[in-house]
This record gives sequence, C-alpha cells and structure tokens, in this order.
Amino acid sequence: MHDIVMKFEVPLITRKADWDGRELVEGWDSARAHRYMEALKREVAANAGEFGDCRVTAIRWGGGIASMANAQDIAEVMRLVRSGFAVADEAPVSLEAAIANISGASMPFLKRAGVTRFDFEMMSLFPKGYSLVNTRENLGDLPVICDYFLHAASRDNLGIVLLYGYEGTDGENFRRSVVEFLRTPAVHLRLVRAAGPKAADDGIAEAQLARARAILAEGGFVEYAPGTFAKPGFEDPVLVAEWDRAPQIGFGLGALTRCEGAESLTTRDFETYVAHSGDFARITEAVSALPAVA
Amino acid sequence: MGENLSRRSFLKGAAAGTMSVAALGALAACSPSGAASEAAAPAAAAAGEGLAETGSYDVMSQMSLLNRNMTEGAVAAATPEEFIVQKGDGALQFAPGGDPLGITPADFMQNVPAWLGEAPEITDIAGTESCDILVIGAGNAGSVAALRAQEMGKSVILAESQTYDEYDEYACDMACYNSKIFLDKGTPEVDPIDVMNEYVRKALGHVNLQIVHDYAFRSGEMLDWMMADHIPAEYTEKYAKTSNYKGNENFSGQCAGQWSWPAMTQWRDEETNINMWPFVIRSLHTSLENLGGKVAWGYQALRLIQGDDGAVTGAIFQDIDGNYQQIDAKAVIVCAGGYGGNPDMRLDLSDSMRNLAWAYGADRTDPEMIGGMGRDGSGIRMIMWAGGTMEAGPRAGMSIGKNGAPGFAFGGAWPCFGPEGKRIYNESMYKFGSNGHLDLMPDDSLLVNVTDANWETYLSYQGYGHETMDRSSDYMVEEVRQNMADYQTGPDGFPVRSFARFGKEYSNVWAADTLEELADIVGYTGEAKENFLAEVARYNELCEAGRDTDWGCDPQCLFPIKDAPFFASFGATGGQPSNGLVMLSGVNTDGQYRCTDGAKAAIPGLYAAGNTCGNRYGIQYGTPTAGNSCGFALTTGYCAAEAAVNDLA
Repeated sequence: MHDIVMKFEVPLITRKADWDGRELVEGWDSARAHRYMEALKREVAANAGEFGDCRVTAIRWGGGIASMANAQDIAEVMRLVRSGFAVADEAPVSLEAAIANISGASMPFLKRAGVTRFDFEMMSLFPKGYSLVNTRENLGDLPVICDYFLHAASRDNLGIVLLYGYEGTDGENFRRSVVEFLRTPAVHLRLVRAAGPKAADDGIAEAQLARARAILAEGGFVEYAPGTFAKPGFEDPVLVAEWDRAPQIGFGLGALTRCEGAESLTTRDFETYVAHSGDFARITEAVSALPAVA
Repeated sequence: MGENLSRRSFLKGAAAGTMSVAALGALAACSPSGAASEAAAPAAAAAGEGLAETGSYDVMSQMSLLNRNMTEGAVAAATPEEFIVQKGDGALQFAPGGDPLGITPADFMQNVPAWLGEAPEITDIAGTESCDILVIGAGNAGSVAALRAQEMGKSVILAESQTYDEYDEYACDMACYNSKIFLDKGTPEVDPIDVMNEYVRKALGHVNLQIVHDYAFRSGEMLDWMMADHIPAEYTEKYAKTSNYKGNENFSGQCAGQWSWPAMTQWRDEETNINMWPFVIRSLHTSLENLGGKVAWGYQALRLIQGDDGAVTGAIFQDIDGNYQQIDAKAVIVCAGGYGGNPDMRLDLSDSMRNLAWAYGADRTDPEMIGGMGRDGSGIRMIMWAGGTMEAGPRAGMSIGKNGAPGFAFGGAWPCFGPEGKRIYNESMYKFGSNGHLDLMPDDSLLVNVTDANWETYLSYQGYGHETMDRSSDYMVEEVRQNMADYQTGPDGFPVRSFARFGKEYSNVWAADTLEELADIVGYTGEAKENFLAEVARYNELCEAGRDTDWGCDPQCLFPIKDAPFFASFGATGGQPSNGLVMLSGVNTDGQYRCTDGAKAAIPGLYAAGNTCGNRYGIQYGTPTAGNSCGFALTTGYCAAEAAVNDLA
C-alpha cells in the first residue's frame, strides 16, 4: 500500500477582505453550496476504487472557508470517502473554517465527518487588529465555540490562521495577536501574508514573521512548513505533503492530484465543475509529468 | 474519451509518456462545444451576480409617486376644524379598487421564504411505531418533556437526530428559582412574582405571560424533580456547582433598577473543569428507558403527520441508514431547538441583528455578519408546515449588538473609558440588552475597563447576572484570586480564568503600578491620556459623593480607582453582530404550549418547548440570573409535557 493524502477544495467565502488574494467564490448562497457539494460527491464516487492500493493517511478540507458547505454534505462526502477509499483509522481530518459556521446544527455532522482539527481564519486575536482584518465575525464568539462546541482544551482540535504583513496592522498588533494565540488551547497555526493594495512590503512582512517565529518557538511551536506551526505531534500531514510535493488526491475546484509521477489540475470554472465533476477529462485543466526523482 | 478514462490511468499515462502533456489540448477539445459559454455564466455566478434577485422591488420610489396628486381635489387643511374633518373623512384613502400601484406582497416579501419551502412528500416508509406522546429532540427541553410525560403514565418515544455515541449537548449554566437545593444552602427565597415581572419588563411585554409565569414559579420545582428522582445522587454531589454566592454579601438585590437573583447551577468536574451536563443529562434518558419509554437515536425528523382535521398524529424521520421511519402519536412535542445554526433562517428571521449590521455599513445579506450557534431550525419549519406561526419580531438572539464593553475575565460592572479617555455610559446599566449605544461608536474605538487592587471587594456589591462574577464554584474563584495575585505588569498582560462567561477559557488582564503606565499599555496617548487621568480623578470624586451625575451609575457600583496595582481590560469596537449561543424566538403557542395557527387557534396534538417555543424573551435577552435560557428550556419541557398529558386525559 502506498500512503497518500487527500485534499478537498471548497473555495467559498461570504465576502473577501481587502487583504485576501485568493480566488474564491464569493457570496452566501446555500443552494449553490449544496450544488457544489453534490458535484464533489460525484467526483469522489467516480474515483472510488481507483486508489485501492493507496492508504489515505490524512484528509484536509480547504481552499477557502470550507465550513461554508453544509455540514451534512461534508459528513456525506466523508462517508463516501471512507466507503470508497482505504482511509487509515488514525487519519486526521482538518477543516478550514469560520467560527460563524460552528453551531448546534453543524457540529453533530462535523463530528460525524470525523473532523479532528478546525483551522479558524480569525486573522487576528488582538481586538484592535481584529477589528481591521476580520470582516466576518465577532471575536467574542471564539471562546464560546472553543468551550461549548469544540471542547478545545481537552481535545487538541483547535487551529488558528492569522494574518501578517497588513499595512493597517502595525507590527505591535500582530505581535500581540501571536501572544494571544499562545494563550488559546490551539495546537496549530498558519500565518498567511496579506495581499492587495494594503499589503506591507517584503521587509516589513519578513520582520513581522521573524518576530512571530521567535515568540512561537518560545511557546513550544515548531515551524514545520513555511509559516505553518504546530505543537510537536500536531503537524498536518496534508500540508506537509503539499510542501514536499508528495502524493495527494485532490477533489473540487482547482484541486491538485499528484500520483503516478504526474499531477493534474482541476478547472476553477464553477459551472463546468458542477456539471461534469464525475468526468475527469472534462474537469481537468492541466496534466504534467513530475520531474524524475534522482 | 471522458467517462471511460479514469483520473488515475490518465495520470499514469501522462507520467509514462504514453499520453503526452500535449494531449491536454485534445482533452480540452473533448469538452462540449458549449463549454465556453458555460464558463461565462458561472463566472457571473461566482462573482455573486444574479443572487437574491427574487422579490426585488423599489417600493419607496413607487410610494413617492403615491403622494403626488393621487387624490383628486386634495386640499391641505387650513384650520384645526378642517383637519379634523379630513381625518374623519379619510380624505387620503385609495380610490375604489384597491391599491392603485398594484403592489402585491409577493413583490417585496415572501410568505413562503426559500428556507421554509414545502414539506417533503415521503411515501417509502420502512417501519412504523406508535406511542402516546412523541417528543422530537433530546436536548434540555425534550429530555425533560419525555421523562415527565412517561412518568405521568404515557408511553413516550424521544427521537433525537444525533446517535447515542455522537450525542452532544451545549447547555452549561441553568437558572432555576427557589429550588430546594438552593434554599437548603441558605440562599434566600425569592418572590416569583418579582422574577416574573422582571423578565416581562426586560422583554417590554413581548412575551407569553403564562410561559414566563411557569418559569418563575416552577423552575425550582423542576430542578428538584430532576435531582431528587432522576439524576444519581453521586453526580449531584460531585458535579452540581450550585450557587452559594459567598462573595455578593453587599449586593442590595437591585442595581440601577434591575433585579438580580442567585439561582444558577453549573455541572462541572473540578479536576478537569469539564462541563458535565451533556453527560449528566443522559441520566434523564436512562430514567426514561427505565420507566418504559424509548429513545430513538439517529432519527432526523423530516415532517409532521396530520390527519384530515389538521390534528398532528406523528412524524416521519430518516434514520442514519437513510430509511424513513414513521412514529404515530396522540401528541407531538417539538423540542428541536432554535434556528441559529441555519444561516438562511437567521438571515430572514434575525431581523434586529440583520438591520443592525446594515445600519452600520455591513452586508445584511451575509449570514456571517449576523452569527448564531443554535440548531438547524428544522423543528420550527415542521411546525410551520403544519400551520404554525412564527413569533413576531423584532426577534432576539442571545447576544445583543455589535459592540460590547470589554469587561473583566471575572465579570463586574467596572468604570469604562472610551477612545478619548472619558467615561461614556452608565456601567451599572450595561447588561445584555442595553448596549445599543455602544453600537453607535465607530469601528476601532478603544474601550477600557479599569479597577484597582480592591477589585474583589467591589465585586461584593454587584449582582448575579452575566455582568458580574460567577461564584457558583469556589475552586474557580480561588483560581481567579491566584491569577490576580500573580499579576504581571506590562504590555502583554496576564491570563485570568474567564469563568464569568465560559468555563475553560482564559482572558487577558493588564496591570500597571501607576495609572500613567496603565494608560500607555492600553494605548491612550496625548490628549486621550490626559483625559483619562483627569477622568479617573473626576470619577473618584463622584464615588466620594455617592452620586454619578455624569451617567447615572448605581451608587453600589461606584468604586474609586485609587490603590495600585491598577488593572485594565480593553478592546476595540468592530467585528460583526452576533446572536450568540441561540436565537430566542420561536413559534407561537397558546400558553399551554400548544402551537397556534394564524387565527391563534391551537393545532390539535402539536406542542412546542425549549428554543422551538417562542415568546419567552420578546425583543431582547436579559440576565437577572445567568443561565435563564437553559432554565427556560428545561421548565418549558416540563410544563409542555404536563399540558400534553392533561389534554390527552
């Protein structure tokens, strides 16, 4: 059996902030999100059985605010994955999420989906910085989410995403945000650099990152991929695989699959994907052979 | 090419060179000829175009036309007598034939919004069971309702969408008045009339008085019933951190005209600080089964069943294997929670939050602008399909507003200073439901709470709601004392047990040896710093006088800021409105928990309790005692069961 990781791309977001350079489908439309998830199910079903010689060692739901998908749909996709692929019992499942999507309605299904870590795009944990860079939520909700729904202190299932290099966020706001992070029960942190017109120049951004690295190292976090930190033992295998260009199965808009010495890239066209997700040829935008390993 | 080519084999071919990368061109060529046009449409969809187009109607521009000479011969009244005649004549009525503009409600409102839709037609029933009373939802209200009805001699099935192993429940604090367990600990008995009237006052009368009456008069009885008959004594002994409130001995009982009472219980394990209620509540399920009732785990309710006369006679569920199961019953109590976790329902029904967001420049079509954490609203939908109606608005969530004072980790009504270093409101009036003025402030405005070395003494003069310290657990109070004793000065602050709100989270407090240093830490500079220092002096004068002529703070809460170390908690306005843990609005009932239709007539056989049941809070949440939402849920379940049993009798 070959080890492989699995990545789901759910490039949805309600509204992009001015620092967000990602290519995402904006706006709230639960019917559209459901259509997308139905397409994802078809793609998973079409590929089930093709990877019988592979053991899926980790799964990640990302590509945007993946929690915007209906949690019931996420659970259903995970059921299809577990029935159609050899998923290791201990395979972690991470979910890029917004705290606004965590509720008594979604949690039962996210539990059923086997999500083991929630990476919340808070972007800042320091109140003054938060009011500048988080355009979606209320900072006061985070403790409720952690305590009531995640039971984060005892389950090690909290990850945070913070923003650096934002012109409107001076270095001190970001530093305090990192200090705040260390006071949460989080086990994982991704630092993403701001894009767009308010992005700081390279020098400022690098200085902020260096400062954060020092604080996080002192707090016991290890940088296992650029800008990605974890307490030892809580590294995300999918992010490791992405960085190492290791084999991965990708599903969804813009997904990357890498195996058999080649990699394929799925279309980013929403309707094309939704209409033909079960047909690899129609949704594949590019295929290339990987360089031979010396 | 296409359907018969797998991704794996294609990749293998690409790598082996048997299918060149150049074949991608051919692959693209395999796309249907309409691909390009298909691609264009989705791009528009991706950009959000075409969304929310239904019901779009420029009502105001049409109404402005209405005022232009639509009434022939209209002449403004020149004298009071003419004015009275015109009013009496209805001089501005529409011409015969109705609305001259032809505006129909469908143009700008949806009586059947997308989230409601139609009840699904289900015919493929795999199995049928029957009982006297079917309870949908095994949360606080449902668990109590099922057990109470079974105990009263009815056969009960309690259906829960989660499986037994997946089951979780999100309650923590529960407020129940005059329970024996409180009275035995020396907590003074409170007058339930005062309790009832305080809740009604906070709702400005927008409540079902019978429901509030039940809560005020019977919540303690309900808690005693659970503890005495159904929860193992060792659980109560070990986990029930029933209020003793040793630290509030100087509180007068009212603050700024608002009552506050000790009545909150938490269920926590001291060693781990884990909230144990989601486990302890399973005792009620066990008790139900011991009495002959049944819990149907993994049953997601899809719709109610109604007879020809409209009476509800059961419900259809989908089990975790995807099969449809029918449960027939003489009465159905829906306790499926609220709709805070359903973004579509939140957008439509959370009118006060939606418009608050809009009023301050946010997007009111964005559900993340108005967060909420409750259930999926399926219970409310089913009741509405059966003819039920939704509580009138404005509809409250548990949190109110966009901005809140930062507060301290240990709670309390502390002097609060705004961005210019000056106090900005009556801190003793700040509770849930009264911070709308903070929403008037621009984003990124600094708010700073301040106290001094005497913080705990000051707390002894404060009440029992969320605005103050939760002393239900001695061990947590001790931890706060220790955290505060171990304070660290400097810009990074120090963590303090944040149990004023949540069990396991820590919040930051900042400390300094002088007020000047504290001002620097929180970010006051220049004139704002001077204002802050002057305002503290002014505030101390008001404390000395015992009368806050600036903002009206209750004299009990006028605590001078004078002894080092000085402590601050600060934050900035901004972020988005949140409804908090649950939405507090639900369906209309008749006071006996019978769901009512548009004519205010009870729908036979259909009851609602817990967050599914509306008219408990009206326009806003308030906390005379922390935990009243769970207290309400438990009590409505208890009383709805009695109502259903009595109706069957």
